[in-house]
Amino acid sequence: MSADQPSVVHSETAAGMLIVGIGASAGGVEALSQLFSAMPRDVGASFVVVTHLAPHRETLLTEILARHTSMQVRDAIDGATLIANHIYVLPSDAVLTMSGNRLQLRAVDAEQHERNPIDIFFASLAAEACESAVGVILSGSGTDGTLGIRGIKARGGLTIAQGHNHSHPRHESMPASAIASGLVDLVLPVEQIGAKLRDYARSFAALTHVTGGTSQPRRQEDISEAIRDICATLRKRVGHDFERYKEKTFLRRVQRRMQVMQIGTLPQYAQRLRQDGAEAGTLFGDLLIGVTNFFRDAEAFQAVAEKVVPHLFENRGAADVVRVWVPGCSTGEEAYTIAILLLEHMSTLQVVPRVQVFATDIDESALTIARLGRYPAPLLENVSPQRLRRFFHAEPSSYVLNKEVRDLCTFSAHSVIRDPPFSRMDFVSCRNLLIYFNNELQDNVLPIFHYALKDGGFLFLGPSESVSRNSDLFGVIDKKQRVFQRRPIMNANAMNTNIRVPTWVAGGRGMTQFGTGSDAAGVRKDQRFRQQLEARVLDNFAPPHIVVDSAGDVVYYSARTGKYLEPQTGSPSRQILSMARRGLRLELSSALREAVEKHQTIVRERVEVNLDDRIQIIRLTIEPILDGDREPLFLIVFADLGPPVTREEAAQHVAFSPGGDVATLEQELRETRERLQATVEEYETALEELKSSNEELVSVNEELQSTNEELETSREELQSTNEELSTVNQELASKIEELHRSNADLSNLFESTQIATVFLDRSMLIRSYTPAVTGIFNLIAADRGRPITDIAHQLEDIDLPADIRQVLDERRIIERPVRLRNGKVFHLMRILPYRNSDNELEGALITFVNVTAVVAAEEQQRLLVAELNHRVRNMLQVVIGLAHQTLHRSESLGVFEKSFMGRMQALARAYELLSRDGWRNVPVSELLRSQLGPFAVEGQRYTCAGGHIVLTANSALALGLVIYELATNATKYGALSMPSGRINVSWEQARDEQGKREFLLYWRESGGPAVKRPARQGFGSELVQRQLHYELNGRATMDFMPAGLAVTLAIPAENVVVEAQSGQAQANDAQRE
Amino acid sequence: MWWSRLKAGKRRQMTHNANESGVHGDTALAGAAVESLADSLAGRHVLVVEDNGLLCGMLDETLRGAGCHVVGPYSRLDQAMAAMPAIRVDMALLDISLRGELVCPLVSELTQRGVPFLLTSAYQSSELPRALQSAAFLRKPFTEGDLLEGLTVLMKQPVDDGSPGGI
Repeated sequence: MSADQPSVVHSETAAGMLIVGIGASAGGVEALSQLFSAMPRDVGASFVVVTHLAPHRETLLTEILARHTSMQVRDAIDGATLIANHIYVLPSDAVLTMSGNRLQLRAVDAEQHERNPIDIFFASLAAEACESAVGVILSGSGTDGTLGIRGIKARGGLTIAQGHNHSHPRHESMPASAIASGLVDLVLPVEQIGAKLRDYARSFAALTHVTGGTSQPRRQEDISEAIRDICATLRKRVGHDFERYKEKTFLRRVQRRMQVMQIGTLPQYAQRLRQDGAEAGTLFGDLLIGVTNFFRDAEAFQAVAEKVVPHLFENRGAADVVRVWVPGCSTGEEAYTIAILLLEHMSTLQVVPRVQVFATDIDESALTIARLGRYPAPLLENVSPQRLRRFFHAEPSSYVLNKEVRDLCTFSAHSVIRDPPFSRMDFVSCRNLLIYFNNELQDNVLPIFHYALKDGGFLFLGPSESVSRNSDLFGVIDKKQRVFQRRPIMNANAMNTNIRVPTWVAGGRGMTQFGTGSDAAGVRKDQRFRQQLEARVLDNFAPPHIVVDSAGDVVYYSARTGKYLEPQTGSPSRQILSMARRGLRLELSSALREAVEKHQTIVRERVEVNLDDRIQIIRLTIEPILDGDREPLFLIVFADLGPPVTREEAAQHVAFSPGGDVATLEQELRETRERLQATVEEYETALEELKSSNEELVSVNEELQSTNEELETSREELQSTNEELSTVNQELASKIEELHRSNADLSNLFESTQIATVFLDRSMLIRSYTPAVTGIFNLIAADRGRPITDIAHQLEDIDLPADIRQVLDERRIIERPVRLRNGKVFHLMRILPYRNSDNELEGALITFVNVTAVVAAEEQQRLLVAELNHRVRNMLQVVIGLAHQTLHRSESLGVFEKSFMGRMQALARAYELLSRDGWRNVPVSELLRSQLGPFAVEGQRYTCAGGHIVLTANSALALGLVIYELATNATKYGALSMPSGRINVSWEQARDEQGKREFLLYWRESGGPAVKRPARQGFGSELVQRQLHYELNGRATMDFMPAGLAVTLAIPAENVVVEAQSGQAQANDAQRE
Repeated sequence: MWWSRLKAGKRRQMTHNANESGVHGDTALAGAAVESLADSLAGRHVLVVEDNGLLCGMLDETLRGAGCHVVGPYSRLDQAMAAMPAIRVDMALLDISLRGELVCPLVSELTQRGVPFLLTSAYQSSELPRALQSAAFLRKPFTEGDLLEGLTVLMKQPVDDGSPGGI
């Protein structure tokens, strides 16, 4: 993408080409794809895509976008010149800015990873491209882009944010933040942005031709005409006059509105403006954009903090007030910044005067924002963390100023140009307002500031503003940071002619001043001479005159009025009627009333004024001075008619003129008049008194009212304090409740726990213990606070104090098994360090867990294992014995195997029977069935009959083998060797000859082959005999009867029979070998 | 487990007779043939006290095979004690427990008479009553060879009066 590559469609210069910065983050790929898919081919703009990228991560965005557009998509390269219909994508690990028409790419590593690349690019785009800049904020999280949008908007660029439609931005917070700042021109669904951009580009190109080629005077005139038209409409619609704004600034703002509205020419726009009230409001808003920020331009505010603020508080007592005025405060950032500076200085003072910061603006909605004092976090990035902590209250995504700061500031709607200024200010801060005014307006505003400030007060202006045209009014404190100081008016003589008090003519356009103007110096000099001349004539040759208001209070005296007026006794008064000399008062009073009522010039001829002993006859003229809506004033002129005369002459004069005969009547009338005058004077005195009483009452009333208001305020404050207190109280109560519950839980736990626990402090004094401890320590309640070493304990072989000391010193847990002195109870003792909530060592904790049962269980287990071991070995011994004997009697291994395995299985069956019920005793019938089962079917080949007799486990085992041997024998030689053979087994208990109880078992075979006594005793019968003899202490009788073998087993019942199937019997049994 | 430490000391005290299985001193006669052992036992009167019927058969046959005169076997202590005064006994093979009864009375009787005896049991010697722990001991299960070897060693042992020591 080099600069020399020919542009395919458009070859506009950078000035005419739109540069569209597109910022996107999370969910941005989808939005970007949609944006470029719907982008018309002929927008002719250059696009720069800035996204949030993870460090070191290659982006595939270039490839993805190339699939959605026919335009060239490239990675941004440092120094690349932007070309129309190209898309440049920010690569990872870099920051993109603009310089002229070129991109600047700065590589950054992961540590410096830029969090707000969109803001950075947009800000430089705004600075470089101004009106040609377009900022588009697409889906993303966070607030990146909002500040950038502010920059673009402030420079006259177009701002667009992705809005809702059927396609929502995937993540809304980034566009939402931009929209909330009020600086977004268009909120559009992503698919419509392309078409809008094309229309905008077209109207932009058209406008550039209009405003760019302004060389023809006719065009220029047309434009001026249109602007005047627009201004007139604005004045009518919103009551604000922009006629004297800088034309270029004004035009730029209007242009952008035209582009947004897609209106081609200024007259058309003027037309639209006349019809559309909302558009007038929008344009008005755009014109008033103030790009302000907290501590915007930190050095300047530092200069204010150092060079202005300390002087404001010099020689001020607690009763004094420091007054600051911030005109054009917009959304309040500047005012709050100054308030913060003041507060910071106030915290260093011992005596703190009252401080008032008056912040004014004509934009009521901006003031609403200012009064809230809530700002999104991005706007506060110039505020240091210390200040943020001290003066702001953090909310999730914004900061709110503290009450302390807000209380200092008063926001009100006020126009610097139109409304009377504030006065007696110590400091006026007016940054970046004058730049919107033309020279004439600036010349008017600066004297206003001069007027508003006290002598030596400070003025703080924006970086591109200055007082150079009014340098006689302000001296420079810091030229670079635009800090100025009010100069006193040096030339006393000049006061008369150079009064710098501006007057404001209501309803007028702007402001006029006495003695100053835009006249040339020569004109000024002539005027001054003429004025001096006129003053001299007035002083010397004009009749004496005064000016009063409609109530008769004097506002102006001319020279030589003493002849007609005389100060009254008592407090000085300006009331003309009380000062008028005798004779004049009545006429004056009636004439003035008439003049006030009729607003006409009133003339009274031949009014007699009493001058001590003589009478002066004058002509009294009262002329109203009507000046617009202001309160009318009245000029009273006293013109002498001849020299003063004596009373007689005067009377004569009167008497002469109409005729002598009426002289008496005249005299009478005069006397009556005098009386009337006296009455009137009395009445007026009374009236005056009443008036003053009334005034007093009014002032008392006002005082009361203000006291009442104060009381109201105090009451509200008290109420809110009360509410706060009750909230705190409630919280406290609930906490106490919680505490009670926890305490109750704990004490219940202490009572219920079987784990003996002792709490010790650092000196081993007992703080608390659980009741279970009393089994180990002889503790009573009174022992709390005693050292544990004093308490007797039941533990064997233990040095408890040493263990506790070790825990306290080494802060680790000690755990050891301990035994009580009685030797039966075992505990696991643990000594733990006791830490408080701050993790500080406060003592130790001793717990005892009773493990006696565990120890016993372990012992039991050991015994069981030993018993098992024993039984297994015994059984193995039996097996060895059997094997030995069987082997000795076997002719061959085959025979051995058969008989040995059979016996093993018999043993196994007997064991199975025993183990099935956990080595319990076995009923005879079951034993028989178990052993005979493998040989024959019960009922067919053998029968069992007998009572329910239960055998001990050991005897069952011995008897089982005996029955097996008998059954084997029967199978080989006896009843079971033939199908017809039967075996009947029966048993009983009986008494033997000695009367002892015997268990008898009868084995009767029948139906088998003929039986004859064998030649020698086989091992089987030997085994039967031995088992009977040794194991059971009984005897076996074998009768080899021809019908079948008959065996009778007789065993002492005590050896085999369990009398009661009880646990005791079982236990005895288990003890037996 | 932690409490095994509690017991450890005690147990160590108890097991000074540490040979847990087999016959005392079986290493001394390693490799000797059963027959030659049996020869030396020939003619001895051996008292057999054992309550297991099957084992009685084996003991009986083995001892007879070795040329001994088997006295018994007795399966009950009272029978054995009753028989004692009237019989000649050169040595004895005693099951320690007969249906729950310890053979201690018989042991003291034999000790008094200076008759060497070999105790048998499925228990470890350490689990035996203290008085019997130092006696010659053959742990079940044993084979024919083990038995003869044990008896031979016993026979060669000089007989102390009163306290038969282990090897």
